[in-house]
Amino acid sequence: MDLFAYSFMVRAFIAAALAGAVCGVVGVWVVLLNLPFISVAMAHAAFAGAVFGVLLGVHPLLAAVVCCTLSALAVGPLADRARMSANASLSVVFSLVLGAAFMGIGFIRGPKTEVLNYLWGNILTVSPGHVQLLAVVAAVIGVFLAACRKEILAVLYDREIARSVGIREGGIFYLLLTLTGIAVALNIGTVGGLLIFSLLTTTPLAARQVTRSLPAMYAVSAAFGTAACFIGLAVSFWWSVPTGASIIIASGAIFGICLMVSSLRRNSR
Amino acid sequence: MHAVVELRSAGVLRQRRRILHDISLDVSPGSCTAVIGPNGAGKTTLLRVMDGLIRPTSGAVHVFGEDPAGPRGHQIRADIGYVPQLHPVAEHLPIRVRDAVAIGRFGRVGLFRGMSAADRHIVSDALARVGLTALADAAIERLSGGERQKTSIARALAQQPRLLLLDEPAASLDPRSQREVLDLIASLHRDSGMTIVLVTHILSHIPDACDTVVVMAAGGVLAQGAPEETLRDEVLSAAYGCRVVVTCTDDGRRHFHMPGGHG
Repeated sequence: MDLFAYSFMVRAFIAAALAGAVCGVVGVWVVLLNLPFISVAMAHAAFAGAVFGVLLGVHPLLAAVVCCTLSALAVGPLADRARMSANASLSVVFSLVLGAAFMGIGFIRGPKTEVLNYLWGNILTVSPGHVQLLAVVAAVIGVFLAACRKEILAVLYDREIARSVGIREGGIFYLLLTLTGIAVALNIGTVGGLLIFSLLTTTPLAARQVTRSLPAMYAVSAAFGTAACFIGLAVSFWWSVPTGASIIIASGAIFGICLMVSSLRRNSR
Repeated sequence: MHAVVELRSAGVLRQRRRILHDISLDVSPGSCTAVIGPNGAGKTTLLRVMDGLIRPTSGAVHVFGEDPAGPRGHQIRADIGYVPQLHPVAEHLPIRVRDAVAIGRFGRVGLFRGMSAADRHIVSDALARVGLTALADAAIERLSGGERQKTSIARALAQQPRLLLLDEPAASLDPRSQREVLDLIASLHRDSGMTIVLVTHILSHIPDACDTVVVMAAGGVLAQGAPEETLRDEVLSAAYGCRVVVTCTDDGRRHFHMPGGHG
């Protein structure tokens, strides 16, 4: 069967390429800042946004992006103001958005399929407008990465060192969190809110196994993310299995292969 | 000549606990100042206040005539080299020693600009100054504790700082690495006339080049002045809460003993 015989499949592959690359790059920040929980917290913020979008008659995707952006914007200042770790701040935000989401679900009358789809996601039903939004966010992240690569490196190395050498690290750190939140919100429609956790951590960690510099880690992580999405889509199409799960299993397989390669390299030295 | 660092009645209160109180001191240009005292005396907090990383809750702090924690703080910090006590642990970050040292240039280079050839040359010079040229392309995760400390110092030197702040630079090193780091600090002061403030709780780590000593205890300054005025039995005994005896050898070196202890 020809994978590209249907327009929805072509759109799904474009979305997969963008989602894989964006999650690959953003995942490098998530892993290096040691904040894997951000994907879960932001996924639930997006879910809460979608719930209130449905309740208020606003497009759920737009509401999800707004809620994620606001939640991500709160994480950094909350951590700094309360002198706690970003992970602790994320847990506070997570609890709040989860509470808000359940509260909102209680107010929805009739079937709740539309909002629950935001937790599972389906790349095969992604709309042209969604693909365009993914492309815009990918471009914004690319420009930010190119323009602020020094400052991002310093923040990933150590926030206090970044501050002590004269970098306004607070703004860079908050931007990293916010762009991560937006990337999660937009990709919930592709791999789903629960499965994005894996794509944001497994592919960058796989890239770390086989790279020795940060630019290489970004490039390889983006390539692995895209490859995992492509493989998952193809497997799902040919064998009629769930797409999101196939993508995650593909990213896990990539990690396994990279781990074997790096172990072999270490042993041969 | 204006002092590089001026503290006037500076205090830091955190969760109702006085970490620093009523600190007034001046650091003169080109001087080497040692801040000594037992653990918990407030030495690290004092250094972080000087670098603008902590804003004092009372009093005033000026570095190069400006507030280092103020709106222009990032510009002032670009002129201050800071070597923290604990090395950052960038667990998964794939970074070479050269890249870690280059971070010291980033504040000076500025946003949206790349490193120039001159900047890269300064980074290479900083690596050479601390004897890490051979390890420039090594992964930072493979370095020993002493090599990581030298990387931290090289990063601070890459800033071409007008003021160098060192927090326990030799505390966790083996004797050979301690000697190397302390000799490096002495040569930096001797060769470049850089203003240095060094914090240590180990009395034998006070550099010979040091011309001012600030003795701290319980968040306050117990004594400050020339080494011959401050490194005395009664002052050190009061600061450390146990008997400390200072002896001088013929070559002018001080030795510190704690009778009945291991000092």
